[in-house]
Amino acid sequence: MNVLPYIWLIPLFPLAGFLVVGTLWTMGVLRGAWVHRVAVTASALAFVVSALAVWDFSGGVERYESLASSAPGRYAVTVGGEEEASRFSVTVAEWVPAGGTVLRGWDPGHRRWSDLRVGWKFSLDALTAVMLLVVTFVGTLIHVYSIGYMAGDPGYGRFFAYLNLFMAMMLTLVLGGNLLVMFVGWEGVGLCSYLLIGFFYDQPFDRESGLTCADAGRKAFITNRVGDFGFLLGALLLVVTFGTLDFDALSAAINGASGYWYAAPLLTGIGVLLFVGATGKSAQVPLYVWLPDAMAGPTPVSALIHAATMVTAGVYMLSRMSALYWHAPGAMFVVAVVGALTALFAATMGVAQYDIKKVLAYSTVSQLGYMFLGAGVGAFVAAVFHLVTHAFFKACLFLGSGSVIARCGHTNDMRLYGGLKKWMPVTYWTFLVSTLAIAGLAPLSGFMSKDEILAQSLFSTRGHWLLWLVGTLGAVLTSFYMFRAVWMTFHGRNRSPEWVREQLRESPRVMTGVLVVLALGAATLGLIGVPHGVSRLVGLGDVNWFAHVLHPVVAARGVVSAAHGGHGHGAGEGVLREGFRVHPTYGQEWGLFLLALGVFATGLGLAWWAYGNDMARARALAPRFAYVRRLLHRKWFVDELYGKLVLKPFYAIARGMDVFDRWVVDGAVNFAAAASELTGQVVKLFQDGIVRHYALWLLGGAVAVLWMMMR
Amino acid sequence: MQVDPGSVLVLSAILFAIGVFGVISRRGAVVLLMGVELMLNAGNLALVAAARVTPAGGELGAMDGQVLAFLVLAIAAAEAAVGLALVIALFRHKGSVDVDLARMLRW
Amino acid sequence: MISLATLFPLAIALPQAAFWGLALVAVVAALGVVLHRNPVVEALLLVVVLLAVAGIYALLHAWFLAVLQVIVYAGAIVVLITFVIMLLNLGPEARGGPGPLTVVLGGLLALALALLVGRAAAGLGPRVADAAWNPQFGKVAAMGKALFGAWFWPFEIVSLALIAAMVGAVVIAKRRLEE
Repeated sequence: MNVLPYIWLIPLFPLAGFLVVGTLWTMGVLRGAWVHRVAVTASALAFVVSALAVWDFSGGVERYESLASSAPGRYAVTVGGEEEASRFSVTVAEWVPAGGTVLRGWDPGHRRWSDLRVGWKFSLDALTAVMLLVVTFVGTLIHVYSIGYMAGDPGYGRFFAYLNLFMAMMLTLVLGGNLLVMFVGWEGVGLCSYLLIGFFYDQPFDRESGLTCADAGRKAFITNRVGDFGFLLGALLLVVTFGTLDFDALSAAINGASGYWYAAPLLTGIGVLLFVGATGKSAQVPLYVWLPDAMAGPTPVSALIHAATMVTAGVYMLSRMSALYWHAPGAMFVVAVVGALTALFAATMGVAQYDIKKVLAYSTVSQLGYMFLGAGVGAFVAAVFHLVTHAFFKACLFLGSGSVIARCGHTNDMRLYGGLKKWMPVTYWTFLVSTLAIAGLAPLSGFMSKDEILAQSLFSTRGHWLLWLVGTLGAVLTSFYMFRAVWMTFHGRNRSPEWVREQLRESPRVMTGVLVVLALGAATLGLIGVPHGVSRLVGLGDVNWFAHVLHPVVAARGVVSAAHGGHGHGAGEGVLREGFRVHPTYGQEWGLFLLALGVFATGLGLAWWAYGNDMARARALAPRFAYVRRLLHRKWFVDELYGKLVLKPFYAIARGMDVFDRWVVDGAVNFAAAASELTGQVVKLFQDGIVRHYALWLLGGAVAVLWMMMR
Repeated sequence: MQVDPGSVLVLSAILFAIGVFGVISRRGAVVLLMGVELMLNAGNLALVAAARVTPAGGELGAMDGQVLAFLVLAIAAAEAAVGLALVIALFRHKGSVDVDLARMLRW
Repeated sequence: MISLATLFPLAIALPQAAFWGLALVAVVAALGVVLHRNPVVEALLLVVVLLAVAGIYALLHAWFLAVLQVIVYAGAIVVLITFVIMLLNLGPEARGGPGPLTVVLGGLLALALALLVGRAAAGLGPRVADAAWNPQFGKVAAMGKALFGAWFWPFEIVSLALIAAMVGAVVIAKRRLEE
């Protein structure tokens, strides 16, 4: 069946859901069960159509070639092969009509005009297909979960409306066929993140600093904005250099035009700028500070937006622009370094949090760091695979924590949990499975993806052993803090107040059902993307179906004069090399596998040693580590640093602007008003009611007119 | 030899000026009305003088000025009647015919 | 129609001189109207002005209009004014007239007006040769033909205006019902 020409409908279903639920609920027409029926249906429809579209796509796009040739402005089809990956695009409408722009060109004296034309273009290829399925599937599940979690909330309709809007925006992002449509979705998810973080708008969030949830939302939005500035600069540079924002055209242009020696610096600059945007959206250093505070939002929001989908937009964007990054090794290096640093840095902070959602938040930042590490060393496939597996196990972890939070009197503090395994078995087992996945136990999904990233960071042409080391350290910490969370929450003696203990029981099926599905995914999804290194160990060849599907999209193409921005003299060009620098031997593979197992066991062991036995040793050792604990708990005082360095001068400038606005601008306006009034007050004195004076003025006027007529 | 129409117009201007000066500088309502009558008469004079110098393009064409003066006369009569009624009403309200007392329509 | 020429031989013989005389009278009387304090005197001086103007009409050969001027203006309107003066028992106007500023300003402007118009008008000499002047000018028959011919509509409307003025005057001046 022909679904591909209608992929533009996919974002429209949840958009319609947003409009319907939003308006009808605000008007009071839609109430209760109908709210979530409409919203879940919209999301589910998006999933169904996405699945059908992917199915259609998997059958090959050759069928649509005739369609594309008959309407070239509307449809574009690329049939996969050596040079390119398969792709189908449909342009629904014009957006920026053709206009001229001067291209900088590659030669100094070579300026040419280009027709920049941007349309509302939606395209589907393997990468988009992966993202579509993840977003719609996990998204729909979280919609279902929210039925249980948000039951009884006065803003029920508002929640689902925003959730639908988010789905629509995220789908626009992944379906975008050019950078501008993608940016629409990019900004849209930022907006929805703000709306949903600040959902309980006036409730206090951080008792220490007195912030409300609305403040947290603002922090997220503004930090995102800083990143978006970099993104826009990068996009504009792309326009000026290549005259197009279309992904197809950009990839072709970049792959074909890199023979010039100064291409590398320009592309590196663009790559770094775009990565700044990804830093903001995907919470990497230095723009990650919004994500832990984003836990102010309801837990389904944390699961969907800040674990599974929105924060992965940066990784998606990087993969989409893989051609650029292959030809800009400097930028890739920056990405990898930032990713590795973030992975470790965030993990250190996750170790010392008491709020279970904050632990998971820092975990998310850390895992995103791994994804960027993978992308930065050229393992785009591994990074995207980690994105997929992370979506499942992290969403499961968040939703599980939501289940716990809801049942324990709506507190996030793990010090008030304990021993919940007895009362909430389903939550416990799904949480445990996901923890095993994230900690990297084979053959669960987390192991498959993380292991591949680490291996690539060590052996890839763009990798470095230091990056691998940092990543491995982070993995140890990951395992540790996750099991710490498990022990504090589900084992030991229960530390909740009496009234909570009395009503402790498992969450409703609406919520636990979703947990089970996600846990199953976390457990089994790894099998579709078993890295070659692992499959070797059991004697199989290359069974990495996922890599096979995705690789054509992110493969390195074209030529580059030298690695790492060399100053070639024209000769010495070589084909871009990706993949392993040196192939690891069988023994090295085993070594890595055992090391991964060791990392997992170390973290588990440490956590059990410290927090088992009802947190006995943790309590005993606490005073000795007080300084470190405080440092880590207060997030290395980064927020305070930002406050002094950035916010204070900014507020000072804003206050100055305010004074200017109130005195100068308003003053001018008020002056105009006062002048008019004064004039009126003067003129009104002429209307004194005395007819003779009027006659005098009439006479004066007549004389004046006569005088002028007779000059 | 006929009267020079130009000088009639000059006279008309002078009479008009006197009339308007009277309106401006006197406070009695009746005097005001007399000033207005003076102005009207001046206007009429001008009309007739101008009619005198209009060539006789046809029998009726030359009569326009006089007819106009005639109509002005009639209207002046009407206006005088109404004006005097107003003076009486003013006197009844204020006890005097000082027009400066009728200044309610002001800011 | 009796030709006024037979009654005023001097006027016919020296029309310009007659005109100057009548003009002088008119101006002096007008000044008296606006400057004198006693309303009765003012009314009488107004009559003088009106009669002088009537005379000038006659000099311009507008016989019908001259007669009308006397009958309507001097005969009716001034009488009406005198009625009102007597009804309201108006005495000489009190001292403390309008402020000097108004008077001076008014006077200057009036003078300016007169000068301007006069300068424009003085160049208006006899435009038409004696022989071309309409012999019907000023005759009643010609006036009648014009009034009931081309000027019919304005004539009727002016009559309506007169009726309206009558009604209006009655309404404005009558006593209030509750008195």
